[in-house]
Amino acid sequence: MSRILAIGVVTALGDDPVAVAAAVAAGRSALASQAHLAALPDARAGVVPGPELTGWLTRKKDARLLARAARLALPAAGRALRALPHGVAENTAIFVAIGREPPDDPDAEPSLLAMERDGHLDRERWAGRGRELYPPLLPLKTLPNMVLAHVSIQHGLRGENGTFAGDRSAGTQALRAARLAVDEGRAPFALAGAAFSATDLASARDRLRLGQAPPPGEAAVFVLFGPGVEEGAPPVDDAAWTEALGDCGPVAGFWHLLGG
Amino acid sequence: MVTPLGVGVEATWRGVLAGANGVRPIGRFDATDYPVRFAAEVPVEGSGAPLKQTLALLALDEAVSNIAQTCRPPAPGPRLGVCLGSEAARPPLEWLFRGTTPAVEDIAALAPHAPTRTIADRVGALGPRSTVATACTSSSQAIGEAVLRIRRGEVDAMIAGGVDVLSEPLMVVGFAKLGALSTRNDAPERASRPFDLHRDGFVLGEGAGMLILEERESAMARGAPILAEVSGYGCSCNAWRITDSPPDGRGAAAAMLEAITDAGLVPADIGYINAHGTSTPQNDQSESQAIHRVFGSAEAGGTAVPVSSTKGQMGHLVAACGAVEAILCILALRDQILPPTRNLITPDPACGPLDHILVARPTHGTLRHTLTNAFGFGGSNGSLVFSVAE
Repeated sequence: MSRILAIGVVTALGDDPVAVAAAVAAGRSALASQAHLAALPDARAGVVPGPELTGWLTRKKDARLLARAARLALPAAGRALRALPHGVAENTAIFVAIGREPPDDPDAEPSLLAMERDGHLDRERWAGRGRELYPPLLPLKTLPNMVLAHVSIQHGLRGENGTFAGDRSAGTQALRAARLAVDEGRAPFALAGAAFSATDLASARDRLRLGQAPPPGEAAVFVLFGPGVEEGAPPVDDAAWTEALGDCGPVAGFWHLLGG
Repeated sequence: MVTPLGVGVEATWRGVLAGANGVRPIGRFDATDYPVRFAAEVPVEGSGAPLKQTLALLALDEAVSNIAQTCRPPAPGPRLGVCLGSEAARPPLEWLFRGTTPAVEDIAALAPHAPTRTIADRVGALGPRSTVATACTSSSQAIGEAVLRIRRGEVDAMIAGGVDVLSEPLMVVGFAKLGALSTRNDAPERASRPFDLHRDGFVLGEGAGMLILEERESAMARGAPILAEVSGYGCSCNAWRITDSPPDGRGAAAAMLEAITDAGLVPADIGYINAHGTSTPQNDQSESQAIHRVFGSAEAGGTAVPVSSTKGQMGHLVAACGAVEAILCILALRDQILPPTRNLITPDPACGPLDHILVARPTHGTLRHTLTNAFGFGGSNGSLVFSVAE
């Protein structure tokens, strides 16, 4: 049976799993009013400062390809993989959960502005300047599997893989798939992760339209499975984590690993 | 199955075998001054998220009604699950502006997992519900995940497949700007030309394919017609670059080998490869190298396994392509005939010598195992092996 070798986190309460869990247990919250959400009825969100990518991204020019969720994922995955002292085996598996397609990037703003007239789409402007300014890299940044792609490229993971999309259950599915890949002998190690960000204005506005009550959050958690004895998952109070960090989508499927 | 070649499995299969064309000028929106003005659209009304749900349901209903001709469908309940490949639908352009307030249900319908929910609700599946969103590999991996769940005994049956809708303004502009699309605006019917020397990119397509997968004994007990066995599944990551595949095709080769090994076979057992064959200069060359790595070349004493890419007929169905092409592999086994690659006039020497199928080729009862490939942006590879049910 597999066991958990390491956990890497990036949250609004820090990037030390033990300290984050302690902070949540102590009732600390990272939710704070955000200037960029001032137009909304509730401007609170759990925003991660940075994150600093130095040391987590080999090719600096790849930074332009990273949507917010991928920026959170790289340090979290890198920290989990540090548990392998001899480096990553090529056939290490990777399974990732994402909550929704990453929102359109701020890079799209100039294009949107150029096609707007009085708050509405002006099709003539879209046909001209708006489309001209539409960022060519946007489709790539916003594909759901880009978190997995960047982590696998950065760390040379070439094994079984999959990106699960959906609500909180997607995180559980990624954890399960990784554990089974090791248990069933298809991979020597398996990385399971989730990354999510809904703290930008467009996402926060969509959440309000959808009636999603908790303030938006963002986080990434990656867990490395390897051979050994499976450790039991302690019970965890999900509500405490949401109060501390905001709604972090499928990353919540990982809280029980930190909360014991 | 719903594809640019028609609504229904048999309509698509007839078109595929005939080398028919599913690529036409875009009809869903005014693309007059777009850099790319054609796509492989389905012959079904609608757009965006609602069209995705419509296509998924059309494909499901066909699969269920096919079964219903001979026996009852798999029972609703906790032993029935759903695993689909699907990406998020793009919001209509108007939604991006503050003057527009879309309905809550319309926003929710954009989520990648929305079709999974729709399908599960339709069949009463209370077992696992999964959505795999790995770009062009999505539905291939969804079928693989479903197979693993059945093998583990977690469920008796899974609805597995994929759906995608890509003929939308933001997708056309975005992928055109990336340089991934063919720009053959003067001759759309010749734009998708996998493995051809003069290929210049892929054609955005759309469609849906659904399979009802069931544990063998359970299917036999119901008297269900068994069309084929999903005998092998393999997947890998390239860990190379976001848009490019490694020129030596090693990631794709790893997925193919894993699937063949999982099926308990050796490469020489495979009688047909439905290639990913997108018609982009890089994919086709890389995939060719991968095929040579696994199967060898006839010149070097390897196996001259017949290869075709049905994207020549119907463009690239992205999240749906793995499921649709899996169905084509099953039909090849059923009818003992191999589908051709449309528009392959001058095989690219850089793709090496492959046994390309240029017109539908009968196999006279010798075809036992087929393999289908799906490779995605970001470097995810998935391969499936289908075998004649014993």
